[in-house]
Amino acid sequence: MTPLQQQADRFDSTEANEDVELFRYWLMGQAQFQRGDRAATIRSWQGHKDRAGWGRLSWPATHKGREMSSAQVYACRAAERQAVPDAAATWPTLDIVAPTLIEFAGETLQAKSLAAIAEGDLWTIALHEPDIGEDLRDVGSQARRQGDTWLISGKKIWCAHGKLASHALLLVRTGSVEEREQGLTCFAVPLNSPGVEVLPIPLGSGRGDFDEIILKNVEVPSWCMIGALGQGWRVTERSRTYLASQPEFEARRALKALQTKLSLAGEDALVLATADSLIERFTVGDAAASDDAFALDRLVGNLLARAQMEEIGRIADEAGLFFDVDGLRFGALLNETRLEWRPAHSIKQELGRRILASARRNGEIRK
Amino acid sequence: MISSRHILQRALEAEEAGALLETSAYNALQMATDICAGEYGKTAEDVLFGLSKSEGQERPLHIVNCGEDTRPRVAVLQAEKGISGLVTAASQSRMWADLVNTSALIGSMQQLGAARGMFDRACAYLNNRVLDGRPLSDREAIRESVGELYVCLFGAVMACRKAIGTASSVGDTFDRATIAARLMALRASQIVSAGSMRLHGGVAMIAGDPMDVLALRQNDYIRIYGSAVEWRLRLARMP
Repeated sequence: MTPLQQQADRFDSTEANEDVELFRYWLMGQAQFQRGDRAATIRSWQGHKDRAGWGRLSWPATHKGREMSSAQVYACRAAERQAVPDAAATWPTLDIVAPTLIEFAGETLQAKSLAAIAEGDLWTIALHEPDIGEDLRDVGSQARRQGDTWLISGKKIWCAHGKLASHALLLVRTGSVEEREQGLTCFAVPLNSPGVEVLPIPLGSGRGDFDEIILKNVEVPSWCMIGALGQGWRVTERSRTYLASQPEFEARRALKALQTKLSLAGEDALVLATADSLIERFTVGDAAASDDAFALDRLVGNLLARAQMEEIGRIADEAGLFFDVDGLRFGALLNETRLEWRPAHSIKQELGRRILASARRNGEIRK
Repeated sequence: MISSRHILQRALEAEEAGALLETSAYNALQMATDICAGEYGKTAEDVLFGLSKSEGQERPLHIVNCGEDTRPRVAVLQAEKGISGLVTAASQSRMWADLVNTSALIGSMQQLGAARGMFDRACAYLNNRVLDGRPLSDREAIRESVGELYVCLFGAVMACRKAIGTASSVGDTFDRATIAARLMALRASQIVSAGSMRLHGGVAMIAGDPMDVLALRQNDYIRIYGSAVEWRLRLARMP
């Protein structure tokens, strides 16, 4: 069977999964969860979930987790987004930071941070810096040892939900510039430490979920180091490959907004509706059985969603139409997502690699 | 019971493997006459079952274009004689609607199958061809192109498979989902076949090479099942 056929068959069938179904069932009783403002809702939602036993989906059993696979977590998150849209802010902390801490952090740091994360503490992942572009091997923020502590100075940009976060997962240089990724180390930095400044980055669409973090001689104890000295590149691997946003949701939201604004007719409407029904299948996230299959689905879903977003942009441009998606300016949002959703060419490359490898496995094709 | 999905899958596989039109499942003057005479059962499943039973006969059933008239008609094609019979809708039945929609989707699937045959051949070539000590498939730009073509093909195949379950028209008009799938298939097969040709080495352009045969067949499908312009016209004239 070729990947196309396997994927197409999987796409038509629905894999029932007990844990995911139970979570969905539990969510049905929690619709419109609200506790004061957005920050309060986000924090109390995670605590509420954890008390019900759904706060640590992907964590190992040794940390009271449910050990769900990435496909199962994805399906749960898809359902969660429907019930409590604000919950999305907690996912990078739960699905990326916590597993990273469990794998690499020392006992003191784990004891101080994991229980708080399960209760609703948010972390921001601070990797990118101004002036270095996409290549994180050139990170320039410095950490210097001073007795039993480290002094950190530098500037981090594009930190998601920095204002809401209590800690940052920081990638800094502890070696020389020539060492490149071998000279990088990871630290956990409390954002209320003296010398830390968090500044919002206002975006054209009206979004305010990214912040800039400036560190001036911030002192952190050495137990805040995550992983060993010079191991920062390996520690941040999960964070670097994580797709922070789920493009399928954004694309569907944009489509709904477009349809409300303009009753489309003709081929455009048909193509959009068809693409949307395909994307819907990916957002539900039921279909993948294995990790391999899940990864393939994510790549295709991501590319389909991008294509749909571009198509919506084209139609809006042609109609001379300006509209909002949940209060955000679409034109600006389109440009932002192009940057935010990891470059399309890297995703296409990854997909092509898998297809070509499977063609090699299948041997010579039929004549 | 053979389901509609299986028939579509067979159409895809038959064309991909480079088989000729006669192995496709949807032949049958028998079929069309039976439907018009009302001899068949009442459900779409029955119609499709009938279609698959008549496999092996040499008279494929196809939708053809009749000038300005946008109503679908079913023609009986014979290899040597050309069109030997033309059947229009005898009734405004659900079954007829299912038949015309299914035929259009099967045609789309055949066309995509041919494009996929080209895509698979191009992938095999990229894996085997070694340049500067490493296979072409190791190069990032090549992988990117392959990923792009795959998504394009996948979208169109899934649109056809979905459309077969959602056809809701009656009488002599096409279903919207069918038209969307047909348009997507036309676009995707054009992109995928041109892209595969570009990725494959020059051998593909030699007359008689399987790649060349499959590329030429794209033209036949457009002639038989109608071009994108005609399908857009159908859409524009829909009530």
